[in-house]
Amino acid sequence: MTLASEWTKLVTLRSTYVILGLSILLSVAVTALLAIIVGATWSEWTAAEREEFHPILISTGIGLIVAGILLVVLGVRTVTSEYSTGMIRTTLTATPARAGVLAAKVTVVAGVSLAAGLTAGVATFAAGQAIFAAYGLETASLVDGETLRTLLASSLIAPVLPLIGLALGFVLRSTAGAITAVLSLIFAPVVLYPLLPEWWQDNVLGYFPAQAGDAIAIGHIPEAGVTEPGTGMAIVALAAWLAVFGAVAHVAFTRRDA
Amino acid sequence: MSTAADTAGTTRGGHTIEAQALSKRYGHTVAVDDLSFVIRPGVVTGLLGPNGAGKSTTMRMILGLDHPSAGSVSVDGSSFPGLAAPMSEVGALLDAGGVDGRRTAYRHLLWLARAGGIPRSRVDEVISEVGLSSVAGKRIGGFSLGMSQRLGIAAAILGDPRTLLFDEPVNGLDPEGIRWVRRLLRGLAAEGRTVVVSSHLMSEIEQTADHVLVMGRGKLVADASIGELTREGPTTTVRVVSPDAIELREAMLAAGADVTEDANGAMITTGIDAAGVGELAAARGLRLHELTPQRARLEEAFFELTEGSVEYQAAAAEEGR
Repeated sequence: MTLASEWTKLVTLRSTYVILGLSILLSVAVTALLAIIVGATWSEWTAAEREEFHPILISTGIGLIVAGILLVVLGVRTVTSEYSTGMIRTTLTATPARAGVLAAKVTVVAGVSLAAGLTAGVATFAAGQAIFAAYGLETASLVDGETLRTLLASSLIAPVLPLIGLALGFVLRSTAGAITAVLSLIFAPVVLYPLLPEWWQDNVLGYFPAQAGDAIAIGHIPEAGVTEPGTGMAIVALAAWLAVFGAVAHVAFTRRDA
Repeated sequence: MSTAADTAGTTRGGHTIEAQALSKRYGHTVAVDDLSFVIRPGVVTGLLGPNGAGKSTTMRMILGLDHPSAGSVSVDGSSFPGLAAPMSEVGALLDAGGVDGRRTAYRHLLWLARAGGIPRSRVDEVISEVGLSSVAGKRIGGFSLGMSQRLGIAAAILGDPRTLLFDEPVNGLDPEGIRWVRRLLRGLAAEGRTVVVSSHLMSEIEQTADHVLVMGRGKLVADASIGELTREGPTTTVRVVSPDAIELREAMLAAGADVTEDANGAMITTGIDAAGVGELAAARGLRLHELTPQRARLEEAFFELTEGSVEYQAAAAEEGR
């Protein structure tokens, strides 16, 4: 019943549809722009650069990051909008078992992110390949094993960052605070990468959520240049991130006053 | 009046709410201080106190929203979050509203209904019961305070609960709405439910509650029926009219009473009850034309009880200017 209630909360807000629509539209738009840039500048690419071109990478790269950030906003808002309006007290009067409320929110956000991630993945892939084909470049087929694995993996990891956002929503109770915290977690390794020694690059930064996610989604494509961590270790890392944030959210939610 | 119980077909009695040495501190601020009380079903219990007395905090602790710093509060012997079907056990209207203004009234009640496994038809029922049918499809954000209160009351009665907590329910309501809330609360209590209503307005509690818990600065300063509170106040006075006023006055002063005179020339005595005055007069053969115990109104009793326990008094506020 808590699950039905959380689902109803999500689908009765216009902002849910706006965020989901934008996540698909913007990810397709960004991917299309990148693909057009590639097509238009292809004649200037060197042989070595052309060697590194892979039709799947462009279509599951930046575009999905845009979708991912919007889904983080969705995950954060399912919690923080209840604190900013005081609705959390109505929720907990109706369903006082807090662990159940947390589990229901996790389930709803994970399900919606998974579906949105898959939709955005297929849409950006289709847009990217259509544009590459129009420029006469190499394209990938949707039913190709490499493509299917990439789309499946990128959909499966799509809920990770929104769920971390949801957890941070319970801890910080602030939309801006929780979104900033997740963005820091996404971009800190990118910023730190050139500043830290190689050991850190290989053994620490690669295990951050977004980087471990990349390793799972595109690590199997040699042209992606992702060497560490391997898929298995990256899955362990993501599971550990989720477990830690889930535990912290559980403690914050159950011990503190609503 | 149609109430929730009519549709349910059965009326189950309310819970007994019991607080034992309940305390809540926020940092250095003590919001609720060593509160012990028993709230019983079948009557309207008023929680009366000035703003900042700890009424809302007490209600939040009953609902398990805030955790007590010390002591405990139970609903039929167990903590509220432990109850099996919470929405059919306890319904609440909390002061802050607790709604997302972006949803329509209907959709707000719909998610709540889903939380309690309550059928959609019940949502339509409570919407019409609180008089919001014409605005059910409108966003809550545009509601007046009175409409928001009605929506909050609809949410509280949605699960047909055995116990209802209403924090300042008449805030923002028009006179017709206030009368409606009073009838609703009385009706719910008459069905055997436990009804708790808080207010900082003495007149409001006086008109709705049967039993009153008076709070001041987090402490319980009185736990009594309305009758007891207005009858046995220490300020109870007796109005005496007698053609033999001079002799009677001396007799009363000799008996240790204080005597003043009101604008109409009647004597107002304190420190002696009506029976005492009658005995004095009879013993001396003095004539009495009027002998009226002046019941202290709840308002006076309230001021007296909470004097010194009000967080900010007018005098202190004046000094601060």
